[in-house]
Parts: sequence; C-alpha cells; structure tokens
Amino acid sequence: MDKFGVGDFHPIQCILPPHMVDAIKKRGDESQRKMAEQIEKLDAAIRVEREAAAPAGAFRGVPSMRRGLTAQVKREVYDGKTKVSLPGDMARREGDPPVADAAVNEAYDAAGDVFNLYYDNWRRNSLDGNGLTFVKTVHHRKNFNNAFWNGSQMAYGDGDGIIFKGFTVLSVVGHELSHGVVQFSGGLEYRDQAGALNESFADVFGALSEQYKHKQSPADASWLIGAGILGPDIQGAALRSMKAPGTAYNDPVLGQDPQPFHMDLYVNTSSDNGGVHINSGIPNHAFYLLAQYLGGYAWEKAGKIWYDTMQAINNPFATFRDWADKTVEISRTIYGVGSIEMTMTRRAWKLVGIAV
Amino acid sequence: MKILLRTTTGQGITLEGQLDTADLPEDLGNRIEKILRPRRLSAVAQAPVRRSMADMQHYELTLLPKSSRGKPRKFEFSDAAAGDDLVELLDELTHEITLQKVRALSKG
Repeated sequence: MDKFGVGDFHPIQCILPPHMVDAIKKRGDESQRKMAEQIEKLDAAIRVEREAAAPAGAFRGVPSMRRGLTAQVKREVYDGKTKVSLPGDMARREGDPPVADAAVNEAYDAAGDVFNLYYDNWRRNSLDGNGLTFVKTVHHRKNFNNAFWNGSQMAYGDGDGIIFKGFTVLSVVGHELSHGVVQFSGGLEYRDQAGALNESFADVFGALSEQYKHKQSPADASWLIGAGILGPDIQGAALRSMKAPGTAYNDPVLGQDPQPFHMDLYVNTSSDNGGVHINSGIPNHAFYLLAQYLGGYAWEKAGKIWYDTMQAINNPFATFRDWADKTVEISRTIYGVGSIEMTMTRRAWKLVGIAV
Repeated sequence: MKILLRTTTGQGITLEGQLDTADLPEDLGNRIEKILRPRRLSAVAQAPVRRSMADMQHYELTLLPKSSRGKPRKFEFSDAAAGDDLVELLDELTHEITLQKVRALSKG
C-alpha cells in the first residue's frame, strides 16, 4: 500500500484521461471499475498534496495594477554567441539605443510590444504582475531551431538557415513571454490537455501581440504564429495557423502540420508531452472563431475573456472542457446572462466539438 | 555505432533519422562514442525537469546494437536535463539529419 492508501499503480493508469476513467467506471467489469475508482482517488490525493505543498495562492492569477499607479517595461537582451549556457553577454539594456545586431533589437522591441499588450489592456505589470525584468538571450546554440521559456528567461535560436531563419518575430516572442504569464498566473501543467491549453494561451497572446501592435481587426489579421521564420525552400507559411489549424505547412522535410481544429480529430499521443503543440489547435480555433463573431479588435472582448479565464481558473490540470466552462462563466460575469458575448463563446466551443 | 534520433523541437516540429559513425567525420564519430554512453543517457532520462519550462526540445535516442544478438536501447529526455556537451552533440546530430534529408530530396 502506498502513502495514498490505494495500492500499487502501474504508471499507465496514471495517464488515463478523465473521460476514459469515466467510461471504465460505467462500462467496465468489477475489477476495472475498482481500478478506475482508485485512479480517481490517486488523482485527487496528488492534487491535494500538491496544492498543500504549494505556497498560498500558487494557482491563482495576478491582480491588475491599481488605478493611478504606472509601470514601465524592463528589458535585458543577451547575446548567447551560439553557446549552450545562459544568459550570455549583455547586448542591450532598458533604455539603450539600438545596436548593430538586428536580432538583439528585434527581441528588445518585441518584448516592449508584448508588455504593452498586457499592460494597456489588463494593467498587468510584466509577467509576474510585479515588474519582472524580461530577460532574453538571442543567438542561443548553433543551428538551433527553437525558442523556449525556461521558467525565468526566454532563449531564441538563429535557426539552421534550412528549416528556420530565426525566432525573434513578434508572434513567437509574444508566445514565449506568454508562457511566463501562464506560469505566474497559477500555471497549467505542461502535459496533455492542460499543456495544450498552456500552448494555446501562448499562441493566442502571441497573435494578439502582433494584432495590438498593428491595430489589426480579426478579419485583417493573419492568425499565423511564426510567419516569416521558415527557411527559403520550406513549403509553408508559419508554424501554426489559428484560422485553419493543420494548414501552416506541408513540406517533404517537415511533413504536414498535424494540428486538429475539432475534438473529433483530437490526437492521442505520448509524444510532445501528450501532443501539447498538436491539440492546441482546438482551443486556438475556438478563440479565432470567437474573435470573428465578436468583431471589433480581438484583444478587447475575446482577449479579455481568455485573459480573465487564465487569472481565474485556478486549476493547473484544467481540461479543454474546464477551460471552456470558465470562459462561458467569465463572459457571463463581464457581459451578462444571455449576452451576445456569452452566446458566441458557447458557439465557438460548440464548433470545435466542445458543448458547454 | 549506429543511432536513431528523433528530435521534437519546442515548436512542435519533428525530425528523425539514422546516423552511422562510420559515415560521419572522425571527430564527430569519436564524440558520439564518448558522449552517448548508456549509463549517462539513462541518468539524463531519469533526471527531473523543472515544471515551469515550456517549449524545450525533446529527444528520443536509440542506440542500435553492434551485432544481431544485441538489443536496441532507447532513451527519452529533454535538453533541460542534458549537459552542455550532450546538448551540443545533439544539435550537431539533428543538423546532420536535416542535411541528410535535404541531400536525399535534391537527389530524388
């Protein structure tokens, strides 16, 4: 018997999604039902233990800055000089004039644009709500086809010149910084549906960073993440398309964009932390649909609903349904019962296969 | 020594291929033999990863047996858990796989 009092567990039992556990409870034989009940018990026990171990309010969002107070972005961009270690050599601090290195300037400017999106619209003072400095390293590693958030800073490769030619465009910078926003807003586990929601939130606010900077309407926006970063001979437009998930690229080297737009096409996989970059296409498309329905600028209403949901959900293991339910609840709170915003939020989810 | 490497970037792009040290530059081949030791890879695969990280690169690395009687050994890990020399080597091997694919396409 383990410390949760539920006996020995085979690891595979712990990765069963809730809908499968429900199905086993309903349709399984006695021993299978017992196993399903034990899984639920274990899951609940783990959650209680983690919440108890976490600091108070660890899964809660960041309150907006009080009226009358002001804040300013703080940026530090480092040159990684193609090495593995971080952060590298200081290249540009807050307030410094532009330097000769275009990647440094692009990363610096993009961080300012992302700060403006969050601060102007939701009065969020940086990633942690408390003025955290944006620390970024460009020229990270050699031929590195990636950009990431490591829990305290961003790092961007230059690409290998074949598949990618750099990662410092605004939609990617907005994406990586928004992982920081997720982390400081209570977090979403980087696995399965919670991980896909984490990815999707980063994509949504990466896209909004670009739209806010250029004051683009949902109809005018590209809804592409990473447009312009693919190599010259790659057949594709970007890394992901929120408007048409699954169509961003189709190339002999890269294969085809695997993103689904509907729950019927949900990809069950153990790769990519349970398909976090794949199934994020579903909530991405729901957001795109909502923004189209509501008109105006996407950050004004759809963005507010998504941002407030992140601050309020208080559940690092949230499923797509949990998130969808919360967006409907938030839209009702902000705009009222039966409002067009609430109705359209429901409709957007329904069209990607999630009835709420 | 032959290896299979599947690299999934933090942007969801996957590249995979097989490499044989006999076909690679001598220096790279020697580093593969030196760094890709089962014991080390096993430790890297079991190392805990910080939960707050996002978009880290992920690897599935299989060491193929030298004889038909041996068994392949597969290791999965992210570059958050790997040391600098291993990360540098994996970057080179991933790039080598890309070049292989490009060469194959240009021939085809």
